[in-house]
Amino acid sequence: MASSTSGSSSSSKVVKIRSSDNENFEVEEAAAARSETIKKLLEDVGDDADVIPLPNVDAKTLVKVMEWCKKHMDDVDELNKEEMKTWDAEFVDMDQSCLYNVLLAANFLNIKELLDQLTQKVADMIKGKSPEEIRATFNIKNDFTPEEEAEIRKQNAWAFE
Amino acid sequence: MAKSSDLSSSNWECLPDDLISSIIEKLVRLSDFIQFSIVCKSWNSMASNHRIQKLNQLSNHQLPWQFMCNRDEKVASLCNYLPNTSPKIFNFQLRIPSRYITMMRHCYGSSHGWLVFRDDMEYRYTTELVFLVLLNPLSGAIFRLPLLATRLPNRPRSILYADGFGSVVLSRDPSLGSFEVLIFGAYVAHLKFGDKFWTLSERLKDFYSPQSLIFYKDRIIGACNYGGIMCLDFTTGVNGSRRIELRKIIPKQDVFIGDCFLSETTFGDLLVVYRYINGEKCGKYKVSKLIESDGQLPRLVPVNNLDGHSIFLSEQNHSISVLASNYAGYCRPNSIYYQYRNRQMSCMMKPRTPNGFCDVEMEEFYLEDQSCQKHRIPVSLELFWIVPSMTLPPA
Repeated sequence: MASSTSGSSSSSKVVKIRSSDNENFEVEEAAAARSETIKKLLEDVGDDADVIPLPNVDAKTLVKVMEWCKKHMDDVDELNKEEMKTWDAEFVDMDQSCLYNVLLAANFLNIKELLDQLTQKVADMIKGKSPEEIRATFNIKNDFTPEEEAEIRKQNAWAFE
Repeated sequence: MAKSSDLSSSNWECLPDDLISSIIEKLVRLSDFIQFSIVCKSWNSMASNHRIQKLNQLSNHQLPWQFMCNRDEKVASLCNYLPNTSPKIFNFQLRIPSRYITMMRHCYGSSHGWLVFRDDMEYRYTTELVFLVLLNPLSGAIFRLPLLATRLPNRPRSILYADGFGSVVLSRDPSLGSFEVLIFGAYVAHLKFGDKFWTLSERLKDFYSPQSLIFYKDRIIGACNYGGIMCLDFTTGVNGSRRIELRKIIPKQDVFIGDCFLSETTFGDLLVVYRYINGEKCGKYKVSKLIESDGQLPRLVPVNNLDGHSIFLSEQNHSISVLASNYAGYCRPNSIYYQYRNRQMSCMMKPRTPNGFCDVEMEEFYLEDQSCQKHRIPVSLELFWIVPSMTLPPA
């Protein structure tokens, strides 16, 4: 598939990044630099960088992460804070497998604020749920034997009411 | 294009440790943390590494339950603190030995999820010898504290008030080890776990008597109902004996301000809450934050909201603050919930519900518009709180 471009203001500097499945993207430098990892790579290679390879992030996930970076490229003034909050809440509202990939990507790309929002989302998805419900939500296999599980439950029986 | 979303591609069990830690950090109810720890082995092992930290972080920031005791039944109820709602009564039995049930009059309320009892059956006619017992009503764990003797040559009166009531606060959940205990009434007495002897203060002068004490950021802060704020220092006399000194950090005012309470928010701010009664149906409240910035004298700054917290106050129990957003549907943000100290008698005289409980009043004060309402919650005889705590496996 051909490379896609961010397509917005042509005046700002653009960097090229490549996903693990070999798709190229052009992203405004200010957006890409939200990632400490990319920022560091850019500093290291200087201006003669051709394409920055990101071997741990697939195209679909990278599009998602860059969507967040673009939105968070500029400082937010007080007026837009509420709007941004809504946008962020909608952004992290994704299915668990997508959330998982974006979380790992944000970790690899080292985007602290995004990581914070994503781990908060995971915590919110755990809140108020039983272990069975949590397993179902995140597609996790229960690897305890029934005896082991009963033993742990016994320690804090009140929590399972 | 390759199939980019594959259900089996996610592997939450094997998230990097720092991501799991960051998720655990954001679990703010102990119950959520405990559910989390049972999901799978890898999450369980991560949770084990965070147990102590979570207990430290959360132990005074959980929605309090009400204690209910009815003949053989010792249960807790999850009270909904909003009006016109009914409590959920838990099915599990609390682990409170029967001998303490008959001694509820000697309970000082709860602190960090532990109930504090006076266990002095053998000394029942003396008020000067006090054996304190700390009891975790969920795990049944017990700590017996060394004897506190208050009848000394220069201490003519008991540490406790004449009616036998004082207040007890703990520095943190005793299962974390190395905790401290404060008991105060006519004197202040302090004990560090492991010590054999209590450290005592001089008899308190009424004006400066702390009505509320709290362990706050490695210090002990007290508030008195004349508006003063004090700090407790430990000094060593020439004979090597340790003593508690009260040091003013904010001077008292000339007028009686009201009942006062101290509470630490989940953000680490210290709030001083004054409650006034003006012959009106409901109390009025004023809240200030203690500000101690570098190079300036400590001061109290009035606030008109609680940064989204709900604060639970009672004369007996250690204050509790929770972020209301973590307990949506149970309490209102920026509200103060105050429970009267009700003795056995006053409750016994009230009509009971068929299952043996009686209603007591709880005052809800909404700080932003200064409105107050009272609603009734069912409890049994004693008004102390059961606060979720966690059993730590033996080290």
